[in-house]
Amino acid sequence: MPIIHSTVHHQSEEFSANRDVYLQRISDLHERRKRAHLGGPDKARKRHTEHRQQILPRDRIHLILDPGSPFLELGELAGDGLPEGTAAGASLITGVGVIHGRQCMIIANDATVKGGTYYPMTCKKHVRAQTFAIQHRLPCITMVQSGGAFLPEQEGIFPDEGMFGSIFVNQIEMSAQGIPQIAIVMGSSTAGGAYIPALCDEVVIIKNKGFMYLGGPQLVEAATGEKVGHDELGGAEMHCRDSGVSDYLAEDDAHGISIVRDIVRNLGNLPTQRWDVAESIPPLYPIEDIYGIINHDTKVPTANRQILARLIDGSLFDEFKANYGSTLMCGFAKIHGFEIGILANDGVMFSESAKKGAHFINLCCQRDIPLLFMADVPGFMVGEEAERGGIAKDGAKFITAMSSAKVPKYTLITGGSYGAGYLAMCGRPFKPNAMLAWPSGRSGIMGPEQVANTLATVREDILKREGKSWTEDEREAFKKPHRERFEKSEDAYNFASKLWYDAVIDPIETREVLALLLDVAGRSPKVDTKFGVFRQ
Amino acid sequence: MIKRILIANRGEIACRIARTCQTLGIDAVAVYSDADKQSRHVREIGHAVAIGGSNAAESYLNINKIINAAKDTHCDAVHPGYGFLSENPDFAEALEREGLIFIGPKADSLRRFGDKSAAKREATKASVPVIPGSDGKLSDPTAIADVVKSMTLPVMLKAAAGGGGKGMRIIKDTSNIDADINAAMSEALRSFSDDALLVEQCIVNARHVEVQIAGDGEGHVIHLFERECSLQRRHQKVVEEAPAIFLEPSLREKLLADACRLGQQVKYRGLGTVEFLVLGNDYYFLEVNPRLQVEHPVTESITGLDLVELQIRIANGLGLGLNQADITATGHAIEVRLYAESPEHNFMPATGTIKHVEFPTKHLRIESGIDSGDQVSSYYDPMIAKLISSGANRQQALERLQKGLAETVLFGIDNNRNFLQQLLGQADVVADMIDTGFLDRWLDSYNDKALATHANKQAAMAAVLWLNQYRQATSTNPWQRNGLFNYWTLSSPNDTPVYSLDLQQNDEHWHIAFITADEQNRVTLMVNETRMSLRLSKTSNHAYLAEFDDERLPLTGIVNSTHVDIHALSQQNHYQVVPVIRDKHGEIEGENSVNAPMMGEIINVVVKEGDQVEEGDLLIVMESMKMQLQIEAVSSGVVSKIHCQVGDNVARGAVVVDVNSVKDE
Repeated sequence: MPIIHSTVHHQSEEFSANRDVYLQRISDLHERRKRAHLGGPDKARKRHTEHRQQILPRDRIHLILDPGSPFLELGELAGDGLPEGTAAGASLITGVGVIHGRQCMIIANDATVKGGTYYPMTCKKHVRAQTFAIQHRLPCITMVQSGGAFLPEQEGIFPDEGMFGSIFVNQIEMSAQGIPQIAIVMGSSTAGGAYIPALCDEVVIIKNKGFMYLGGPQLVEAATGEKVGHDELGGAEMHCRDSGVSDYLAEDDAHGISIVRDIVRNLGNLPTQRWDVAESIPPLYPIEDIYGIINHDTKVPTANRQILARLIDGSLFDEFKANYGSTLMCGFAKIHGFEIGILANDGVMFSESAKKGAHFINLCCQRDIPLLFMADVPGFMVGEEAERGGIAKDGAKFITAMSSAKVPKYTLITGGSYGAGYLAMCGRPFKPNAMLAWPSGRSGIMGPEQVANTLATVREDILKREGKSWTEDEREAFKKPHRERFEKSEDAYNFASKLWYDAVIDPIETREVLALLLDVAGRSPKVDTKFGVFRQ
Repeated sequence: MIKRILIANRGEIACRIARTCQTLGIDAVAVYSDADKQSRHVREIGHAVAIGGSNAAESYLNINKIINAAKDTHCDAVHPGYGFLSENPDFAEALEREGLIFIGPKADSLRRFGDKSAAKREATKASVPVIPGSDGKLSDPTAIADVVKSMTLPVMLKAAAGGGGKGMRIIKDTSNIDADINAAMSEALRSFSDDALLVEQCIVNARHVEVQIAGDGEGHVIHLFERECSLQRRHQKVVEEAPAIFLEPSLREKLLADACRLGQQVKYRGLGTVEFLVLGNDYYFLEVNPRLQVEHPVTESITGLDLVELQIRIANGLGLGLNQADITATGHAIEVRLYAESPEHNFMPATGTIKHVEFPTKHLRIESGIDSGDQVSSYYDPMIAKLISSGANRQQALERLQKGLAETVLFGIDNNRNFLQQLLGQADVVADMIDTGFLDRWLDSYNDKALATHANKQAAMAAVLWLNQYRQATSTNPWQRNGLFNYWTLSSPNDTPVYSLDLQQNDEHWHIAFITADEQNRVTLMVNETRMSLRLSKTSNHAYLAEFDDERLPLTGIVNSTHVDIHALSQQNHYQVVPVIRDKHGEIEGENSVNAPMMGEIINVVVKEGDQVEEGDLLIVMESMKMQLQIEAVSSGVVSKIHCQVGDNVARGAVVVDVNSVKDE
């Protein structure tokens, strides 16, 4: 029977110690989310709602989506704690939601954070949302209220690919591909903030609230001496009657939102699900067990097979090559009825593990089965035996297979994921459809202790050459700052803040998030895989 | 012998008459106006003839059209039901001229009783006590005022040609006497084309008792016992019962004998009702209703007779077929009238679509003219059904009626169901301590608000029902499945709401915050400050079972994107869901537009364009569902445009006047 049997002892001291630590992490996660959901400071939110009589961006999203529909948010914690000083979320909210039964990418400026201006991270987040939309052919609904670029940060916003200009490139590319681009101008939108809606297929603007101009009244006066009011320069009625920049004139927010909903309703046939989706069966064991299974001591390996048992339908895992290369578990399972090929680490990567993984990816691509990489890996095996066995060549096979695979790919960082292991388990550079991490997820070239040791060894060699030596205390004093720096760096929230992860999720949310992601992926056309050369 | 009857009426009474026809093997033919093309009586009767415009004057009140319909369909008789042409002697005569049988009294009787002063003279002639007052009808306002001033207040002004409570006005003091007289006269003129009034002593705190009589037209008149109809709102009967148990046997005998004597005096033919006011041991003749009455089922219930069958028998010239001794009264029956009206808005008639209606049938007789999906228009009386209960005694009949009302579901239109429930629950009503003024006095303390005990649960059920239309417990689409409600906050330790909305019922307000919905479809939510968990499962068409942590409740409900109707715990609630996104464009009118509160006819345009008006000034008078509505300015300003003229029929919500606000500068 392919059922994974539970070996977890709920009463053990280890289990409860692990769980206590993890629950602390979970409440930390929710605190961070709560902070991110707030947006700008109290004063700015109050000005937005009371003075301008506008709706907060999250409420706008709430109104535009079908009631009670999930909002799969991407980059929720982006920008949190960055020195440039944005609030968590980087003055932009992006995510997938449903309008009239159709999944759409919602991109909403948060004007309560520095007037909705674009920081470097805002640009990156907008581009990332667009990338997700392109990949899944999702109509983009942009809810605009933005002052354009945040000028002091222009070097991170303006000149390069992947910055503000790429937003335009993506809009045009999507429009050309027939992916609808719809904007609703809900507040003052200046410069770049005005170009984003102007480059959309259809634009709705709210009377007395929405304004669009390349330069606002002050800038115009400074540039040309012309004195002109907001309404004449870029008011909703002017744009709907005179300039034709906007297509629909809405009486108020609710009316504008209903117009957008109508536009989406008229987008034609809903995309159909290309996979057969079975009835969802819950796992045999409580998903909350994961809190007690993930070891709080990062030096102690986690029983990843037990974690797997708590994520998949009926804990049923049709394992491939169970007795070969067992440090990489490969097999077929279902998540909320969606079939998926899972590759989950259970130790360091050996040649056999890599070869098995490449074989398994190949099978999934043949069958149009999406892939889930569950990363908790110190890296590839090193040492003479491994090198002599051709681990570089076998690792390359695995990476080639993984990178070539055009089936939807998802990465979930569950524990420490280091070095080539991070990359091989479909790290960010390999463009997984979504990159997720649990609060326990850590990534880096090496673990903090390994980094500190390596640097200490290098330092020791220099000292030796100079005929010097150091005490154990001196060695530890040398290591400490390195260790701490890397501990900070490998943290899931650092990765999330820089958008190297799309989201940090609670383990118990994993099945739901994956189901939503898989459903969206299954509604886009299948792409055939062409593999690169496999070194034999 | 009558083979085919044209039923010159609509609604429940048309359906009811057709039922007896069917039992007797007589063909029934219905008539319908434009507004009634799809009505239940047309569907039920089958064979039906179009008789023209929606306004009753163009159809149900048009003698020629009715006669032509009867002739064209080869009917040999016409049953007029109640209202419309039922008491019109010209109609009765016109039918006879055409060789058709009028199922009702002789034209001569209709004339004698159609006019109140004439009726009063007949009563006096038959030695039936009458109410002191003016000698005959008066059309001179000064003369009327003089009579009023000569009497002890309060006195009553009545339209001489009137009936059914219309055109009545009580004068309690003489300070506004001229205005009162003018108003009564103009209402009489508008309703009955005759502005003549009667002035009568106002008998307060009396009971309304009426005797059902039947005559063969040859002088043989019997009674079918009495009915008690004291529960009236502004002289309109609301609850009727039989027998009147408060009556001493000797007093009852007097009433019954007087009624029969009055009938014999005119050789009464057919069914009639002799109405009295009873005050202590005194009683006064009020009027005769020469027709089948709305409340006839209570008499049928206690006597076991079919009054429509009796009418047809008499019309066939077969006489009564029974003697007084054959008629006995057994048990007790009570009827309530279910109206499409809004008790919380001063009983303003309601129009709209019946979204869902469901009547219980145990121990109840239901006379209904509507089904789910039917329209209630403003053209006709807003009564939509009657519920008649019967029991061994008054208490049992009352309990059964209460239960029946509690189980009656009526969604989509304001109605008086809750009001009737509360009325029947009043201690004085239960104790039969009622009089004709009781209801109006009690109304001052009537409160339509739902009982607070379960208000939160009702709101929770409404909210979950509303949500469920967008969610599915068993779907392979995770975006719609309850278990994937919102992953960010699923089982979140912070209990952060994932979706919130407001429900509004009249001026009450509930804030609903959904927290989770699990795969078993159990929804956790906050209703205002109360946390609840609820699983709602469908049991049949509109029926659901709500499982709370501590209680299981069956409910009936219907829902759309903007409204929820819930019927549970004998209560009915209609909620508006806010915020809702309008899915239609351009429904926004200028804020200073004045709208018609309901569908109806404009009868007076008081202002003209350019007039300066203050907030509250009268702009337009319209008539709808037999009621006059005064449309007032909602803000001060200048009348910039008038969108209607006298005689226009306007839709509910139509802009009738624009008022441009004057800015204070």
